[in-house]
Amino acid sequence: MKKAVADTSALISIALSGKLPEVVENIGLFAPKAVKLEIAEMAGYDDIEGGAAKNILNFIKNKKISLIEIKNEKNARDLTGKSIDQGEAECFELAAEEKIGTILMDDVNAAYRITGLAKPKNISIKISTAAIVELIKQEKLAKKQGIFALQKMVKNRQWEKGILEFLIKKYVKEI
Amino acid sequence: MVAGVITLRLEGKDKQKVWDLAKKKRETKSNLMRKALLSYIEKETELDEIKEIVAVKFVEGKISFDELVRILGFDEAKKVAFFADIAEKSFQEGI
Repeated sequence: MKKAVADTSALISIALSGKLPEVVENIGLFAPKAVKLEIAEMAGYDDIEGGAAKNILNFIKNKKISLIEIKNEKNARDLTGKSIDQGEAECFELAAEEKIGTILMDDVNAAYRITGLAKPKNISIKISTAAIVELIKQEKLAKKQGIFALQKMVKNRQWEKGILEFLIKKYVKEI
Repeated sequence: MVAGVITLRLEGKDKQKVWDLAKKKRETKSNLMRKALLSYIEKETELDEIKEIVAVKFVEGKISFDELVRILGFDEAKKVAFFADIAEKSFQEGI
């Protein structure tokens, strides 16, 4: 089973695609403590993302998403700064400690800062759409369902008219 | 949404700057900070919309990286190109 560490933004996006159950069934998803705390905070909001956060907390509670505490908190703390928050820093540290080759992260600023550190450790940064594409590749999701999930993610995340909407259209033509 | 109170923590030096400007503008400190915050949000939102339009043009291949740099500046252009790259890889490779 393929594995990935997911930060808060990526987990919310996957949940908003409507395919979180299928993703956790077929991809090993890992999250550090700081991500759980961020999700728990978001679960207090009475909006679509708050609902997604509550859903994610249930998956963590039922151990469908593996919650792992990082061993070296100082490393993560040293990474935090203007563009990288605690959750993102712990995701990088967790991927490095557990030798997990992919981090799913939708925040471009954090991903941009982390990627320089991730490359030497053979960790690649990808966005949440990779989880849906992976399910299509593994034939766990029909192409049509996958495309619908990607479109739902873009709509719920209010990413319309952005790069991702264009790339989904391009992807639909290619597959 | 109903009006609410937001608590803001400022360093002494920054707090003094707010106090001084409020005095100069004959505004309350609260009004000055509200205007500053809303003006910042409006500016950033407009800037994000511009960045989004330009980024799509870049991904579509309608403008080059050099043109992207001219419009957004080198640092922002690099970020857009980086995001386009990881997004493309995510679609091509999956996990």
